[in-house]
Amino acid sequence: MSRKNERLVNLTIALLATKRYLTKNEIFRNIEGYEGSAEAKERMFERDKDDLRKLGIQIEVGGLDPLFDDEAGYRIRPESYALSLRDLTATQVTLLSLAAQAWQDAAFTDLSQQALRKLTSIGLDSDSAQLPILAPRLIGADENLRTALDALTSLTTIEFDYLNIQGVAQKRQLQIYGVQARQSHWYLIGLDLEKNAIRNFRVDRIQGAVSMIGKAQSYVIPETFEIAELETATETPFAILRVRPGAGYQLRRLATKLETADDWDLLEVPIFDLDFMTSLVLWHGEDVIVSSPIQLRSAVVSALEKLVKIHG
Amino acid sequence: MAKQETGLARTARLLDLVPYLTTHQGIAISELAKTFNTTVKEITDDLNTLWMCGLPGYTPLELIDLEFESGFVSIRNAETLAAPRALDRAEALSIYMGLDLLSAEFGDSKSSLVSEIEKLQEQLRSQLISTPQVQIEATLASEQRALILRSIRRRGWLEITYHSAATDQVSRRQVAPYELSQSGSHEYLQGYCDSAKAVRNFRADRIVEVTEIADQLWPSNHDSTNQDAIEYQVKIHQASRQVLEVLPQLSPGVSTATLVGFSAPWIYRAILSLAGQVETTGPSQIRDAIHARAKAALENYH
Repeated sequence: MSRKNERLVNLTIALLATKRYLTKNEIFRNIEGYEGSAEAKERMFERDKDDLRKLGIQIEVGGLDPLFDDEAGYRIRPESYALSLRDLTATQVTLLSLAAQAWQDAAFTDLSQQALRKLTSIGLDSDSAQLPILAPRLIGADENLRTALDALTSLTTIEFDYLNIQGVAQKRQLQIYGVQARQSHWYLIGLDLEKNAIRNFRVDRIQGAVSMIGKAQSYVIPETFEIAELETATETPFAILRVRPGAGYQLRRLATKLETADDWDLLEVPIFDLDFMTSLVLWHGEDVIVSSPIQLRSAVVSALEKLVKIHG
Repeated sequence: MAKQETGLARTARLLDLVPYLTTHQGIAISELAKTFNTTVKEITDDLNTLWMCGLPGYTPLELIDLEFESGFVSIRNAETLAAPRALDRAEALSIYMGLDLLSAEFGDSKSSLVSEIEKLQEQLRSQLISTPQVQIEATLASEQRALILRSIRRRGWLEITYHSAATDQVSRRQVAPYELSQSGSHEYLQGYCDSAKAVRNFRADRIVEVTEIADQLWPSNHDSTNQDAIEYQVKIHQASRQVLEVLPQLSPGVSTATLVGFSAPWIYRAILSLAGQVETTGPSQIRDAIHARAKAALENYH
C-alpha cells in the first residue's frame, strides 16, 4: 500500500512539474514504481489516473504534436491543482475557518476538517480580534444531508423514501437544486421527477438512506431557479383570529396585522398550510378563536368536538 | 470521499502534509498527528513515505528533504507540492454553507463582515459546477451566542427573555448557563433557572433576548436534575406524520404507548394540537384536563 501511495505522489509531482505533456512511455521510464510487463504498467497507470481523479485532481490529456505523433500525453496544471482562494486577508481566513467549524455533526467532520487543513496551509494567521471565537453550528446535519450535498455538487439524481402527510413512506426521486436550513430543519429543494414539479422535502422526514441513482452531471439547475422566490410565489390566504391579550405569542410573531382590544386582540395570520394552522390554533386552546376563513373554523371546531368526545 | 482510512485517504493526506509542513516548519510530530486526526505512528509512516518521493531522477537533489528525527518536522525541496490543494466540490460547498450561516448570524450588526463573506462566496462559486441554492437561517444572533458563551466560560448569570411553547408565555428568567448543546435538530441552552429552581433546557430559537447580569457568579451547589417526569398513556386513533413528529417517543405502527413528558401544560397542548388523532387514556387528571380544555375552547364557538 505504501508503495502505491509513493507512486501516486511521485506521479502527481512529475505531472505538476512538467511544462509539457508527458507520454505514457516517459512516465513509465522516469517515474518510480511502474514495474512489470507492459500490460501490467498500463493497468497500473489507468488505476492511478482514476485514483487521482477521485481525489479531485484534474489530469489534462493532450497531444504531443498532433501532426506527427498521436500518442496522448498527460499533465496536471498547477492552477487547477492548487487552492484558488488567493490573497486572503487575515479576517477572511478567520471567516473561512469559522465556516468550516460550523459543521459539528459526525457526517461532516472529515469534510470540514480536510477543508480547514487546506486553508490553514495557506500559512496566514487568522485575526479573531473582531470575530467570535466559537463558530455557530449547523446542526442536525446527518448522513442523508451529506449524500444530498454530494449529489448537489455532482448533479446526480437521488432517491429516498419520504414520509407523506398520512405517515406512509413513499419512494421519491429528486434532482436536487438547493438546500435550506429553516426553522431548525434542513430542506432539500428540487425537481420531483414523478410530479415533474419543484418540491421541498424535510430531511428528517426521509426514512432510511438517501441513495444516488444514475450518472453524475445528469441534469442542470435552471438559472432562473431561486429559493427566495419560491416562498412568496403563491398567494397566501389569511386567517383572522381573536386572541386573548398576553397569549398566542407564536401567532403574534407570524401575524401580519394586529389590533389590540381589552378582551380579545385581532390578528391576521398567513395560512401557509391549513393543517399546520389548525394545529397551531388548537395548541392555544381557549385562548384563540378563529373568525375566518370558514374552512379553518370548521376544521378547528370538528377537531375540538372529537377531542371532547374521545376524552369524555 | 471515504470515511474510513482507505489507500486514497492516505494519498490525500500525503499530498496535504507537504503544504501544511511548508507553512508550519518545526511542528511537533504529535501535534501534526492531532491536526490530521491520526496517530503518531501513521504520521511517521507518512513522513517516511514522503521522504522517498520527489521529481524523476530521485537523487537527493530531486527528493523531498525531510528532517524529523528530533520529533519536530522541517521540510525542504518540496516546491512542486507546496501550494495547498484546491477544495473539492463537497468541501467548497460545505464552506459555502458555513459562510451562509455566519452571514445570517452577523446580520445587519456587522455589515462589513457580511460583505467580506459575500466576496468569499463569490470566489467559492467558481469552484462549484453550478450555483446551488443555499439558504441558512441562524438560531441565535451572533451577539447573543457570544454573550452566552462568554457567560458559560466565566460562570456568570444571564437574564433571558424566553418564549415557552408549553405555557405560551414570554418570561424573563435568570439562568446560570452550563452549555449550548444540540439534540435532534434543535440547539438548546442548558442551565440552572432561578425561577424554576432547577436545571432547564431552553430552545435556542425561542430565546428572544439575552443580557448579562454583571458580577454575579453561579451558586456553588444546587440540585442539578430536578425535572419531574410525568408518565401518561396514549391511544393512537389515526397515525400520521404529524403524530410521530409531535410525539417523537412513539414508534411508528404502535396503537398504544406510555410516554414521558416534563410539563403538564405541554402535554395538554400537544394532544389538543393533534386534533383527536391521539387520545390520552391515562392518568385521569391529564385526561380530564384535556377534556375540560377542549370543551372550554369549543364553547368559544357557541
